[in-house]
Amino acid sequence: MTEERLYSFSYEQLLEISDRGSIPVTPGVDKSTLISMLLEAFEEDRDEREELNNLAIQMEARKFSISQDEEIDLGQDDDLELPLRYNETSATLLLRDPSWVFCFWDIEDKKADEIRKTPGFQGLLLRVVELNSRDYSSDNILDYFDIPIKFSDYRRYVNLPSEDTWYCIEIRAIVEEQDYLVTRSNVIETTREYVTAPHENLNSHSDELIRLSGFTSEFGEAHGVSGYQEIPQRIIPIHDLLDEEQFND
Amino acid sequence: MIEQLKNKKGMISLVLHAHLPFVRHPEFETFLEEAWLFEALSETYLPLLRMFENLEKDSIPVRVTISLSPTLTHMLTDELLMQRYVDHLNMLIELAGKELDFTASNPEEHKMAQMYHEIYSRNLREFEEIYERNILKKFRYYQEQGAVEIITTCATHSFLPHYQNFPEMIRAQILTGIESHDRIFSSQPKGIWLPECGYFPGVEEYLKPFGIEYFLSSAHGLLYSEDRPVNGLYAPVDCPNGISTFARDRASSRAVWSATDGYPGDPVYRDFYRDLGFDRPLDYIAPYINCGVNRVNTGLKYYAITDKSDNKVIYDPAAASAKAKEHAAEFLDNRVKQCETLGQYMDRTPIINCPYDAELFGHWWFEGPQFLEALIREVHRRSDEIALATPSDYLKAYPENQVTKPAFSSWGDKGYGQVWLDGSNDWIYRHTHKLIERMQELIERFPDEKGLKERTLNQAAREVLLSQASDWPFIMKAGTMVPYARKRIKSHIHNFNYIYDSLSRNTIKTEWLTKLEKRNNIFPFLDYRVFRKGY
Repeated sequence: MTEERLYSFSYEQLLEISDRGSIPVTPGVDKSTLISMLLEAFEEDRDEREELNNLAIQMEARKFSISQDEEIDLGQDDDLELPLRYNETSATLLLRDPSWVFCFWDIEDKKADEIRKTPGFQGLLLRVVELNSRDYSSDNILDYFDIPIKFSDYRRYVNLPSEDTWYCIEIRAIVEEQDYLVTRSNVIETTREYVTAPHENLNSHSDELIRLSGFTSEFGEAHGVSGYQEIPQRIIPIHDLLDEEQFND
Repeated sequence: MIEQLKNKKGMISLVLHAHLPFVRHPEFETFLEEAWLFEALSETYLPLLRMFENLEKDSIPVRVTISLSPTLTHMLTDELLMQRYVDHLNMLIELAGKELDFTASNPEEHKMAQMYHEIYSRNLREFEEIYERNILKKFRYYQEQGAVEIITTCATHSFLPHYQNFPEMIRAQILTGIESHDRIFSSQPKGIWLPECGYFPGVEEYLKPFGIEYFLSSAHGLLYSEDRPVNGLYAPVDCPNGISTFARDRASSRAVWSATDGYPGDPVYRDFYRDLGFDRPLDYIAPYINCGVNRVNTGLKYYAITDKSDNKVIYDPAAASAKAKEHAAEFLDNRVKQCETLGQYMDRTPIINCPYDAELFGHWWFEGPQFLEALIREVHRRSDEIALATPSDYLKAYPENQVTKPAFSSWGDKGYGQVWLDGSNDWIYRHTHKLIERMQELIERFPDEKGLKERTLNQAAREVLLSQASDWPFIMKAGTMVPYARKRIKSHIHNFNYIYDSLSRNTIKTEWLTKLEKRNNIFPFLDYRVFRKGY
């Protein structure tokens, strides 16, 4: 939003804009100070967004760039409010990156009531189960860990301890020191974040070609893309960013 | 011709991915976000066609891959949107005409006003007279001439890794994308652009039945394959089912993408951000901006990048054009050197894959189409050393490739699914997943409907596909036009749920349905059974 556009709003509307954008405002400031604070916050936000995105994403975002900071609008879309949940018993697991998954779940009201009323009920837990294959069976469990949850919880990001393996989650109820399955999610396969070791008999120059591909890792060691601010930081910029002398080295 | 490729130092594979989400609002007289399409038409798609025309006139051989998304091709053949594009051009011609008067006492700005008046007048003339409001016919012509290989992407550009629990949905996205392509171009695409280069192991199994030969992947998707790719990024690998994957070269990407150390940031190029919509007095610019009060980019930009300050110098088209040629020559020179180096270690000709968002060229980087044209001319000049090739050309020259399984990856920030799954947008998946389950439930309940019920179910399928566009979570994360993205997701979920409830109660309102069919009219051929298990 431009300064001029902000001046066209009432003081109350400006306060609402700051509220919607979670922009802290000193109580009782005059209109022009409030506008300066908003503009400053917008600019910081814009810079932060640019810095956080890699080049592909910055580029893609420009396709949609028509106006300036109009995302904090005063329009309402409450008439299209969606349900928070669907009152069913289920759990879903999505792989976000090699280290993190996102899970969401729901417990049907009737079932939740039954669980609550079970004599000896102590609480709910989210179990993250590592498996040795895509198929769930108790024989395939490699490891697991538990996270206590409440009935009011319905989603969570979870950091995974291992890569290149399989996981699922379970919602379990603890009753008298025992735990019982409430629902289990789909199984996901996590990914590796390293270049695998070379095979004998294959191209003996693969080390060099992978280096020329822009990867600086010691082969076999994990140097995850997600651990870096943006992918291009990992580029060995072969001819474009180095001068001839450096390249020939 | 294919055999000759093996005798070069290297091949360059330019892949331009042209995509915009389905945005069409007949319920409003004008609609701000429809300008995404109009700007891309004026600044990217028409200039690209002009580039092909210039090269054809000079008999310069071209081989470029272009991915045209089904949502984009639908909009480019939609009468209402194409009429609105004509209206948009007329509005800009009027503004540029007004600018001719406004800048009469300022010769430098006056020249800019003249330039835009000419550009928009030419766009309108050619759009009406040469392309007859359908530019896809010309893309098809260039495919038939062998200059372009047109590939497709998923129906609504869904980020597939976040839907991998739903095989029927993934197949529906791919099948609908391919059918849409076939209906427009009367051909089966050889390749597919996985939206956002989003790959998960196993996605290739969905591609094989449709005759797809290859897809594009991010660099780390290929390098982190199950077995080390022995040629790095410079040869494709084959998935175990024979589908090939070509990975993005990072150095050539950065050179063209980066505003800081890439070519588009050169001071002489046109500045993207400084726009007349923000420069002129409000009462003057009001008829050309949103609702007369909300300043928006008009596309008329008079200044060069200059430096980071606000003191910009006026744009000099001749200097920018010369710089684009210089950059193209430098870019190619670097690629030739890169190939020479790679060639020392490879037993085959290396291929450098350069996939880009098409809209980068022209829309953001105004001189981008000139750069591309100069690059293609330069490749021709150095054709004894290097050649343009599409991935399918490469596969004809080298049908045997290393077999391994690529890794989960995308071209998004940090390389995986973070852009489309974070605190700003993760709420959508509970709903979009539910929609798929409910769609499958509807198919089981209504396996073979006709008439009004079939129409209703087909519209439900459209709403499911539209809710899955990667653009909406992307916009929520990127932070531009967020309210619109939220409303779009919510409205597709709402429309579907309304249909679901209506079918459950057996109370379909014909008038409501007809209105929705007219508004969200994408994929008129869609058969709701596409979501059926074992379809």
